[in-house]
This record gives sequence, C-alpha cells and structure tokens, in this order.
Amino acid sequence: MTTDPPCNSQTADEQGTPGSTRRRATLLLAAMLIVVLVVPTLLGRARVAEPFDQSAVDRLDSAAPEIVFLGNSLLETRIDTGYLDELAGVRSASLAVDGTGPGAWYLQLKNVIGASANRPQRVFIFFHDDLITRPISFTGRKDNTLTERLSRGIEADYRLVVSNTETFDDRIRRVFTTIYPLADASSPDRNSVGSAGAFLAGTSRAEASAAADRFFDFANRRAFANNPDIQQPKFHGVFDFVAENSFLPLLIGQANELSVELILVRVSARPMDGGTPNEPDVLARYTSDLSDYLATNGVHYIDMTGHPDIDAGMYYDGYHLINRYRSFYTEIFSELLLPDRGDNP
Amino acid sequence: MTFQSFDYAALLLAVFAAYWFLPRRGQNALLLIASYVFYAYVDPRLALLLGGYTIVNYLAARAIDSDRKHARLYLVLAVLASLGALGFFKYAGFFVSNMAIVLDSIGLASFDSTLKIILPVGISFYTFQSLGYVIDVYVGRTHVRRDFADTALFIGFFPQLVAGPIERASNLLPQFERSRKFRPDQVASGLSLLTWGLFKKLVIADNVGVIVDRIFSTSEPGAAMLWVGVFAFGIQILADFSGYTDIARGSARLLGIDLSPNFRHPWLASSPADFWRRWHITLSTWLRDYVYIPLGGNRSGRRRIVINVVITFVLGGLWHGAAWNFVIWGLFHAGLILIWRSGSRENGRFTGPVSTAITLLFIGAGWALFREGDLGFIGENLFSQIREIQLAAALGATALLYSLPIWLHAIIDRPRLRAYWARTDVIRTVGLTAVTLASFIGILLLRADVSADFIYFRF
Repeated sequence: MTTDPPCNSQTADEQGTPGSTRRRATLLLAAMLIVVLVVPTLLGRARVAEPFDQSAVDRLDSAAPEIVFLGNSLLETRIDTGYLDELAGVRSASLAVDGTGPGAWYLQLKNVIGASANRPQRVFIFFHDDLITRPISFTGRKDNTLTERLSRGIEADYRLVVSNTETFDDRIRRVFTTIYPLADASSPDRNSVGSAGAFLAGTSRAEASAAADRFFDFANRRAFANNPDIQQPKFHGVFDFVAENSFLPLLIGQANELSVELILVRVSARPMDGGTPNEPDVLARYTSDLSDYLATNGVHYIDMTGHPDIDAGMYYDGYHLINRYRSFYTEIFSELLLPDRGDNP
Repeated sequence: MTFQSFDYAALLLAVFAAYWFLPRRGQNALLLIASYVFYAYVDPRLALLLGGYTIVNYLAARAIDSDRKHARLYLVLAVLASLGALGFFKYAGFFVSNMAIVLDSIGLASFDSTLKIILPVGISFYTFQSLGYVIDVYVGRTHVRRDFADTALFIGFFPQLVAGPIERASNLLPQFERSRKFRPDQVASGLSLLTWGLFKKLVIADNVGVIVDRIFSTSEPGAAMLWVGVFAFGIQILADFSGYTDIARGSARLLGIDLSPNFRHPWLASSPADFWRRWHITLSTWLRDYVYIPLGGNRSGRRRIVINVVITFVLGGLWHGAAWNFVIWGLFHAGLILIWRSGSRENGRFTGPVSTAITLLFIGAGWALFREGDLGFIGENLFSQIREIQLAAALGATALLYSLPIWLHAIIDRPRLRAYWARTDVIRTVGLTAVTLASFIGILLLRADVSADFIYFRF
C-alpha cells in the first residue's frame, strides 16, 4: 500500500466534494485514528521488574577489595585495576558500567557495596564536568533493567530525586510507556532482529554480542584525537541549584552510613592542543563550589583537570582515553594513592 | 528541533490545531511563525540568516522583474550573495585548510588553518531553493511574487527547511497562494506517510546506524567487516534521508501542502543514471536544470558531454560536504554514468535485472567514499584480510533484515497495486491504516535506544 494518495483523490476537493462524501471521509479518518491509536495499547503487557542481582555482591565478597571504583566508560578507559594492584599494593575492584551516572552509582554504593560482607575502605567515583550533580542514572539510554537489578524494593530516596527532577520530556515518555507497554525500552523483543540476524549467520545472539563486545572494544577503536573539533564540556547550571536536587547528598550520606571513605575524582575533558584545560569560566566556578561543598562534608576530591602529564594526544574523543594510555593513567593515579595509602589521596 | 522529538510533535500538533480555523493569510502567517520558531530553536542567529536569504532573494526577484534591462546584473548579484554566504559557512574552512597545506608544502607560509565557523543546518537546501526561485523568475519559468510573506514561507517552510525536498517555486508557491480546506483523505495519507517516515528513521536507520558506527570506529575492521559497514551504510542513509523526506511530506500534507517526492525506490535503479532519477530527485533535477543543461547538457559533442557530467557530479558531491571524499564520490558517480552510457550505447549491454543488481553493487560500494573522510582507512581495510567472518555475517544479516520493510514497500508500491488500493475510499483507508498501524507498532517495539541526528542535517 502506498502512502502517497492516489491521483484521483488529490483533486477531489477542487472538484467540489459533496457533504456526504466529506462526512464519510471524516468518519474513515476517525476510524483510522482509533484503530492506530487503540490497537497497540492492547498489545504487550507491563514487564515484570527484574529482581536484585545478588551475584554482584557475591563477586565483591570474594574479591574483598580495599578500594572500589564506581563510574562509567571514562573510568573503564583510565583505570586497570589489575595493574593498579601491582603498582600500589592494594586490592581494588571496578564496578564500572558504560553509560551510567550518579543515580546508578548511588544504588551500587547502597545495595552492592553496602551489602558486601567485605566492605572496602575507600570508594572512588569517577565523573566528568558536572555529571556528579546531574540527577540522572544514565548518560545515554535509560536502562531500566539495570536500575531494577541494582534496586532493593522501592528505593524511596532514589525515586524522590528522580521524580523531583523529571523533565516534561521524561513525563511524556513515562505516560507513553504506560499507555503503550510495547514501548518499554527493556522489552526483550527489542533484540529480536539482532537475534534473527545472528541465527542466519549460524550463531546465537549471546555469542554474537560477546564477539561484538570483544571486536568493538575501546582497545580496537580508531583514534580521532587529531580531529581539531574539540567537544565542549557539558555544563547544566550553577552548583547550589543543582547539588540539592542531585544524588550527591545521598551518595555522601550513604558513604557515611557505611563508614566508607568516599573520594570523588573529576576526570578532565580533552585539553586544548596547547595543554590549556578545556573548561569555561562558569564550569571552573562550579568546580570551585563543588570542592568547597565536598570539603565541608568531609569528602575527598581529586580534580585531574590541568594535570601536567595528561595531554590532548592521549584522548580518543572529548573524554575517553585511547586504550594504550590506560596503563599510563593508572600509573599516574597510583602515585596519588602511594604516598600514604590512606588519609590524603 | 528534530522530527523525532516530542518538541516537534508538540509544534506540529499546535500548528495543526489552529491552522484549519484560519483564513489563507492567517494560515500562511502561522506557518511562517512556526517555521522561524522551528529554525531558531537550535540557535536564534540562524533565523537572522534565513531572514537575510529571504530579503536578498525577494528583492532580487522583484528587481529582475521590474528592470529587465539590468535583470542579468540582479541575477548575478543574487547568485553571488547566496553562494557567497554558502561558501563562507560551508566551504571557507575547507578552502583555508587546503591552502594552508599547499602553502606549507611549497614553503611559502605556515599558519593555523583551523577556522571555527558553524555550519547553519539546512543552508545548502534553502540556498538552492531560493536561488532556483530567482533563476526561474529570470528565465520566465515562474512569475515574480510581490507578497513578501508568501516568498518568505516558500524559502522557510519548516517541514522541508533543513533537509528538503528542494522545492521549485512553480510547485510550492501556488499552494501557499490558494485557499486550503481540510481534507480528511489528505490528512490520513499525511499521517500514514509521517509514521512510515518515523519508522524508517527510528527503526531502520538508527538501528543499522549503530552497526555502521561501530564498524567505522574500529581501527582495523578488516575487509569483510568494512564491506558490511559500507553496504549497511547504504541501508542507513536511504532509510534516514527518505525517512526525513516522508516525515516532511507527511507533515506538510497534514497542513494541506503537497511537497515533491524525493525518492522512488532507488534500489531498483537499472543504471547509475536511473539511480539519480530515483535518489534525492529534487537535488538531481535541480542540478540537471540549473547546471547540466545550461552547460550544454546532452546537446553538445561527446567530449563536452563528459565534461558536463563530471562538472555536474563534482558540484553535486561538493554540495554534500566540503571534503575531498565528496569530490571523489561525485567523480565516482560521473564515471559510473559515463561507463554505463558508453556500454549500453555501443553493444546494448547493461540493461535489465542484471544491470539493476550491478548498479546496486556499485552504488553500494560507492557509499564507502561518502561515509569515510579518511580514504587511507578505506584503502587499507577494504581489501585487507578477512577477520571475524561470523560476526560480520551476523551484523550484515541484521542490517539486511532491518531493510526488509523498504524492499516490501518497493514491491507493494507498484503501479498495478497502487491502482488497486485507490479503487474506493474504504479500501484506501484500510491500506493506509494497515501501513500506519504496522509502522507505529514497529516503532514501539523495535526503535533504537538512541536516535541520531538525520545524516543530511550536516549538509
């Protein structure tokens, strides 16, 4: 069926459409709208929430790390925990998940680290720009399944931040998903085409996904560092306004409750080619306010912006490092840990 | 503001709700305001640029009409102003960086060639559209418009402002000049077209785009994987661009405006020339009418025709982007057209289904030049060792499966079936409902996690 109108209907109006024909056409349009809008509401059903993922706690228990890292791909491309252990003589573990933000890190701190029998002494959170005060759990796609796997029950504090900061767009999406359960981004049907493709190639989706993760790993990516277009740092508002509506107070409160030392590490955006930090004044003011706030709340803070050993050539893009510099960054970071292995990172 | 955002849905809905209660002038005023809101939404300065284009071309057309003695001068001034602005925003960086390379290589000068000039979205499209109007007034293909608002709306009409179709004054302006009445059948087909366009963008282009981006961001993908990436990009760009066009045409149709078709199943093209009669039709006809034919077209000798084809396609390549890969892509297409032309003329080959398959293969391979600016990367990988064959096969099969609805559309959009669906209004509505419902369910179920910008927004 073509979506272009047939030629004879193009000129119907110009020829003078009789009233009955117009009424009939209006009824047909109404019927079409009803069918298109109502039928999909009857398809699919609300997804059953995933249970909490206890295996993450078990893995942490068996590793018994002294240091745990929380973060996303920025952490992944910077810290090699195995190498760090060799360099600094500590046991460390990374709970990094690509695309996550402070909401997900709060749930990891509360429900995974907090539930571990071998609780670490220190938790490092890696973030960029002002991400730590942005009230989000994911920097890109919202992964409801992961949120559920990190949650125990309702998570009232977490929900409060989410609902207080929900945008108009978020609300529309939520209402839309309620009306049309098919639209749930976590539905397994979303992967059906990929599964069929893998089947045609004589493999399974799980195997193909694993092979893709290996093949397309950061280690194998092309370096775009020579691209003169430098990504501008992301900034979303003045510190006082955003901090109180963010997950940061919850993260600090939770660390205190667990008696875990919390250290926030702000990674630098790719500096300008001359080595100047790529940071507008407004973001520098934010950083200064953040530093004061953390000092007041007894939280250690490391700002890697302007670090003399880190230059633009080490960057894959605006924030991620080229894989071969991961070890070098780990060495730089280990020097921050080594002086006293404790109080003042 | 992008078509796949809730913001655009809100704008379109608000305009639609008010539009049909207004008289013609009110409708046009509303469309003009909505168009400038739409364009300024990204950056308010862009609205000033669009306004500037409108004023220059409106005045130039008026001057051409009222002072025929100096019409040529006014035409040249309008062309220089429009192409000058396009050149500044789009090509200055390319020109300066290449000059820097040349001067540096011969030891004359060495300087930082990085220019920070923003590329106003859609500038290539509305430059060609407004220039087309002025040229048409000059040659007498259309008459001059005295109503500034109508002319401004012609240049800035929001559904087609940023990525076409590139409209001709003779098609679009008369529609703004006559009264429009609410026609349920037109709204139904508009909705259907809009939903089908969204499906192509959100399901096909965005999902296949993930595969393409991953392959092209790998340092050594190897031959099999890169070929999959190249052909998958062919699927992505068709779904992305034709999806945009369908959303534009669907949106316009909701407002009683019929925009020109821009695609006619390009995968079924029987030759490279036929491909250009089916792909980005409004650009290829623009280049034909305003570049190729004025250069002499097919009327001159064989050698001259070759030169005309090469000039037209190099300009077509450059229109897409200020980079050498687009120039080479244009040359590649010029070469294909000339080879096909000589082959079919001299020994009757290159026709029928075999020619269609070969055309598809060559056009598909040519996307490598379009997608990748680093030709060294293409050269090193396209014929290198084959790695991860099973993964490449899985990704290729996935991309092909995503493209099936486009193939299906090509099959059911044949003239005989079109005639069947148009027999009665009930059958027509059933067909439109089926397409819309299937597209909507497909979007709900299969849309990609993240939707990228439309590819042609860069041009």
